[in-house]
Amino acid sequence: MSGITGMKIAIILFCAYLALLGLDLLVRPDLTFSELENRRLEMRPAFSWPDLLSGDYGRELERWMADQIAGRDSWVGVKAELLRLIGKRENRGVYFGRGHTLLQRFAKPSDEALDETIAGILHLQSLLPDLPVSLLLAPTSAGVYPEKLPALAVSDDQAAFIRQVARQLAGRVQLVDVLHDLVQKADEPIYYRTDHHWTMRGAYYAWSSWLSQTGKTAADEGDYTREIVSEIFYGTSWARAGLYRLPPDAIEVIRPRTPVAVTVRDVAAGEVTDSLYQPEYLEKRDQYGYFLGGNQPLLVIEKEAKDPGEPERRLLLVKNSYANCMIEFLLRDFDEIHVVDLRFFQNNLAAYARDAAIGEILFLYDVIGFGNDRQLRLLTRSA
Amino acid sequence: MVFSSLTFLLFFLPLCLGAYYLVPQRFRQARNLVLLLFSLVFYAWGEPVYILLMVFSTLVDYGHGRLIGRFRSRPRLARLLLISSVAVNLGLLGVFKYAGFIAAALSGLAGLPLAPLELALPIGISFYTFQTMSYTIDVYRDKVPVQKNFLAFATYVSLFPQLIAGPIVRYSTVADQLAGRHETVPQVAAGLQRLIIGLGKKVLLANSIGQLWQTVRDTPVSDLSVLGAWLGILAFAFQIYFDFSGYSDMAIGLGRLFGFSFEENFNQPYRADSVSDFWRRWHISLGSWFRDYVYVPLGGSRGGAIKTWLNLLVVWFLTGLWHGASWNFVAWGLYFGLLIGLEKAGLGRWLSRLWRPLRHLYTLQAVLAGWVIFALDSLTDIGRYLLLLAGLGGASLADAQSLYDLSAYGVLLALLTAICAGWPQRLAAGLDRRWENRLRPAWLAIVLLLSTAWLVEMSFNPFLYFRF
Repeated sequence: MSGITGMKIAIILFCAYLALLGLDLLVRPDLTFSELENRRLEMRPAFSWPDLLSGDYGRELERWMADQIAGRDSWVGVKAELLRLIGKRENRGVYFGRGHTLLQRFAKPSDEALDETIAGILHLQSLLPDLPVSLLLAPTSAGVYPEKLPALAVSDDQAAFIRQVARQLAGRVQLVDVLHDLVQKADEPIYYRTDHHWTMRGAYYAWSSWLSQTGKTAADEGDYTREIVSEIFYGTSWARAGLYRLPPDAIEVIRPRTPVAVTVRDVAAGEVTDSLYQPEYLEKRDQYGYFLGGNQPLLVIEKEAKDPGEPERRLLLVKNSYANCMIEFLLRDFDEIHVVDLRFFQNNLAAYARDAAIGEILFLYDVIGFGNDRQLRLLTRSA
Repeated sequence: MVFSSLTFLLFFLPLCLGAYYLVPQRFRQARNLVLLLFSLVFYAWGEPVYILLMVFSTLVDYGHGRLIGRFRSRPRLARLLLISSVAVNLGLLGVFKYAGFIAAALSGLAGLPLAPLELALPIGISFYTFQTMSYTIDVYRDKVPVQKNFLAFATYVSLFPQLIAGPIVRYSTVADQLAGRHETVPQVAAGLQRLIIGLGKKVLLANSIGQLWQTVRDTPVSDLSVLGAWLGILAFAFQIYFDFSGYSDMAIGLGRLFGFSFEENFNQPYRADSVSDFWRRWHISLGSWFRDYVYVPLGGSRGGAIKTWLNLLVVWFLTGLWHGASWNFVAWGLYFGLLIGLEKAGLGRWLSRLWRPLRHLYTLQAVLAGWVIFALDSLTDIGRYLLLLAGLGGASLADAQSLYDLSAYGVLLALLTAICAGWPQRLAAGLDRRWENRLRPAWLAIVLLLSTAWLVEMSFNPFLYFRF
């Protein structure tokens, strides 16, 4: 092969490579959904002059090309494997841990931020001095199985953080430390490998730890049944980590043997349902939404059959998404649970608790969510 | 549009090449027209409004060039025309790039309550205004003939390979090529190679190591360890080099695809053995621009020590400011001006007697300290970071985060070090020629395929020159 001929071949191959990839994008119908990534793909943007002039059209076109390019899954896989090969063990705060486990990094909040958050909780307690208030700080998977973190990976000590919070609450609010009890169960699937939440089983053990620490009747596992509702769940950690090839998680649901009928009132949306579960989320990307349908400002969950003669027992649950799969268990001891997500709940919480004749308050957050929280501190404005 | 995007590589480039080479070689004007039209689309893609700015700039400089040529016999008028042209170009830069900075500086110094203009910086404005200024100045100096063909001149100004991120291609470099270049197969093949190498540098190397700098950057300086600070600034040094030189490689390669040959912009800068040497190897087209159009006209180093220092001060103040409308860039420029002045004043002669590795060490330290000034914009952070690098300030030598980063990026850092030291290049040069001819296409194909993969799954692809 003479020099010039070789060059010509190389030039033609190069141009053909680029042009064919481009042409394929233009003629092949778009895929709507990626099975591997379990998400909707960008569709070809509709052309409009205003979009072109603002530059939006160019940005959308680039995203569309990246999503629809021929062999996208292979391109993505090649990149991921090569990065792993040269030592990359983390992406956007998610570690690629041992045993196909993705673990979110925990970084302790600054002392000032923590002080403010705790001041908010203590202030609420001081407005409602007669109510028992507890804070359940859920560890994340990095706290329960630190041995699964990659070598040298940095994640702050969750046990120490929980102890620090307990000290600062000074006994006025009871801190429920479930870390030790969860570590005892670490060989069971109590956390998802691909999502940052605990599983319903993790929530069950945490609940039973809460029961024993707050002096309530112990849980009886015999009262509950387990059922798998999804075998293909790729959670948020997986999406953030950058699409590494991992086996999916399963979603297990633990329900009482004798079902409890409830009404669930979404106050903001004005909707009423009769279930804590929303099966349509099992068809979507974020299947954790199966529990409670995601986060609403205020849900009022009532048991249909209340114990006659007994005074109604009402719980105010101030929480993030970690609580969504624990409500089923909490219903054993309460007739009504008022579920508040402070990110969206705009009212005066103390006044709400008085009006609703709340009998007990539980704050439930995971350590990462608690550390990043910007709403609890605003409780100091409550009256 | 940027070169490191799928839109450019899969749509723009094949279409442009196809349209260009469908026109037979003898229709030079038509080929230039194809380039001009594609270049306008390229520039308009991100910020269409600013196309008007470029058209304005083209008209102004074309007109001034013609007028200077016409009134050459009347030196004072010609000089006035030159001043007018430079004033318009610098005026554009002043309004679109420095208005906010100047307003803030004035209101800080004189207490004038000036509200800074909030204009988006037109992409590449610092590059193309310098390019067009080289034209009118060289016409005035009678170094290049007046370009009477408006199409050829507009093609030069808007020429997309050199439009937005260097090298700063002077008109004199391409003056003849605009009318009489010969596109040949070996040239196109060489251009493709260069394009692929540049793409790989930007997408595979710069973006990957940039993520390490990003994590260090996101940590407050007071929380960094000594090791962390070193990893961070090394990562930044590699990121900016591979990003910038990758972009220049792509520009040079793309130029060759259309028969142009531009000057080199980088020459293994981290192998320099003095700061002066570094600036002869780093962003060569900028340094030589300031040398030929500012330093030498001011008198250079021919007017005695004080005059030389003054000229250095002006040149390096401007060089710093060129990189962005912010004081840290000015400080960065003056810092290098000071070092180069000292080297001229005798430090250089003393250094040249040192053992070679020590000279490299000095240069690298000086350059890395410079990157600290460049990369951080608060003066307190710069001071703290420099202390940290020196091991002062009481921070721990290494913390868990930095050890982890070392484990995660160690391989990449070693690879980049080797490339900057020129080892792989020397290895390739030592290969048997037959082997090299077989291996090179395979190697380039791998780089191209990997770059595609990186572009498809792109979580981090910054464009670093948005402040230039």
